[in-house]
Amino acid sequence: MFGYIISRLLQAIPILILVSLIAFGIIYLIPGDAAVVIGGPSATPEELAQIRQNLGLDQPLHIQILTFYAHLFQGDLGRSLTLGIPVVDALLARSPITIGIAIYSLVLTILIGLSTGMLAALNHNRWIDQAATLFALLGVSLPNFWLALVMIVLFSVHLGWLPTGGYVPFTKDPIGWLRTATLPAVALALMQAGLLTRITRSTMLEVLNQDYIRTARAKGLPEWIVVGRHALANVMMPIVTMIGLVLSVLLSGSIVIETIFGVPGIGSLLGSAISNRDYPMIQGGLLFVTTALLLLNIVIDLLYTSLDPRIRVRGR
Amino acid sequence: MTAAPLLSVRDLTVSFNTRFTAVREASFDVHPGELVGVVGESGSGKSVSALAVMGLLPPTAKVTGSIHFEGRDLLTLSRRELRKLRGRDIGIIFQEPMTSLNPVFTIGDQITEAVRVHDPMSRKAAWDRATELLEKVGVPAPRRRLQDYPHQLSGGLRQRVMIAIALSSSPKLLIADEPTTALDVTIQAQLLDLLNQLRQDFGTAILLITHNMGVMAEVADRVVVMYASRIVEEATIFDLFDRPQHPYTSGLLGSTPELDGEAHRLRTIAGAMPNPAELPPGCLFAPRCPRAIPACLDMQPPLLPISPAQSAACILAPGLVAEGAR
Repeated sequence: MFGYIISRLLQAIPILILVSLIAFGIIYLIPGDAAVVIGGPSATPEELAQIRQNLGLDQPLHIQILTFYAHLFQGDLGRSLTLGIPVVDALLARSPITIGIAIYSLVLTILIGLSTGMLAALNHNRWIDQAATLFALLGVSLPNFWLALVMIVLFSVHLGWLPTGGYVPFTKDPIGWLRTATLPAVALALMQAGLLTRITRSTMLEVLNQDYIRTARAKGLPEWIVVGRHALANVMMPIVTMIGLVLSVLLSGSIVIETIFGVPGIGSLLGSAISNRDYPMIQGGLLFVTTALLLLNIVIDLLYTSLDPRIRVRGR
Repeated sequence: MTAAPLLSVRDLTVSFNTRFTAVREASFDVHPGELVGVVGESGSGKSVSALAVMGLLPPTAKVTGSIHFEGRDLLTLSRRELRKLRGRDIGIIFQEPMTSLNPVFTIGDQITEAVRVHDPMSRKAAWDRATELLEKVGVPAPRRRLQDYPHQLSGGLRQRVMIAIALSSSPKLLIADEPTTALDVTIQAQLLDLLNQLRQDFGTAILLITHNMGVMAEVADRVVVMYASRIVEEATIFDLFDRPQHPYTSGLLGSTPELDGEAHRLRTIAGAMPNPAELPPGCLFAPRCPRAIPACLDMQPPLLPISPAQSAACILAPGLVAEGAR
């Protein structure tokens, strides 16, 4: 098991190198002169020179790369052009907000997706199944920013149940957090839940046809144990694998959703960094988010081995 | 055999959709402690009959007739009552030992679960009982095996685990649906010995489903022969081998390979089983029957007694004895 963890971490290194090179290269992907784009049309030549110097663009390429990595290993991702504070500080300050909403949203996704999918499979070809399939289709196809806007109109403007946006830290006021975090979390969860519903449904249908389910019934076990224990344990494996995917979509979705709801998380930070062409911020955010996802996927793989004894024993 | 039967199946008919009928008007008894064999080709309705007794057919199956177990009609029981009966009074072993155990739980989990569902006891006590069961079905080092997952066991061992699960509550009836088909010959023999042993030790009645006449000859008291959804003959094992009454039974016996005597090409029954969706008129076996006469195409002969211990569904049946002796 320990060896497996080490080897998974080693496998992550080439990916991190590749991602950091892409992050470094972003500045060169800007059409024309980066300094002109950043400085705007009214910038004077002196200002442009200053910007180039700040970004290190006046140095030769190999020096730029070396400087980039030297700073990276010291945890220095540069300074935000718009906020004027170190990128790392901005990311660290904002990330708990996004992580909180992501966890909330993931829990909702799993609760909604698993239960709807199971309900559909257990009522195969009946109206519940068709309703669940329709829900899943809508969840997958409706854009989440549209859902977010509809929910704001419905729950905040018309019904007035929840605020239209903003954010209250959980540590200050848990109820307030719940009030502000619920709409963004639901908006993020619905799409993923649709996907999870479909996967749960098809996996469950397959598992329910397995011989070991027949064995479980032949033992005289109550149906809820047959489904809730024998079937669910086998359904969980593909679902845990999918959670890695769900997380990555949750994080990318948070850019739009946090912007709509005015939640000051990583998503809205990156969203405004992109529209303000705050390149150091974009670079830092890219590195930060990719590394986080990479680590999360390793954790999920480890979780997977603990769920499936066939994999676990092979690794022993 | 004068005592009331343990299991009494009458006019059992199982159909899927409206077009496909897997079992037609099947009637047979199993007495306490008896080993009744059901033989027939694949698709003759053997397994479906067994699943019907267990109440394990998919909800799409339409079941009519009656299945009395200790006087109670299983087809009229509520799901809950039937569930309590399953595993406790009737155990079942399936054909596929490789896939019949849940891959993500240990052997011990799966046996103790069967023990505790009908007889609530502490985990520790159930674990001891599981060890005992594994020992009884001849699994070496049972304590250690309980910690294993199914994929760590061979097919023969897995089938023994399945038998242990089926026996966990000392059922009165054990249904064995082709328990040896997926296993190699030496393991087959060991498992048959085991079944026989269990019958003698615990007086468990066994309904053994197989397509192997050799297996039948070794262990069965009485045999029910099924062909294309119908029972065509029922007899004691001796009568069946000495005086088969239905041409299909004769054909089955004729196509059993023999080790002694002169080697010859294996005889087979010409033709194939009819497509269940397009059954021939009259006797279902007529198109393949070497002795068919025009009258065979007119009606399906009912299963009629020829002697107190033998019945057959063939219009020629009473005359076949004389013909065979000639």
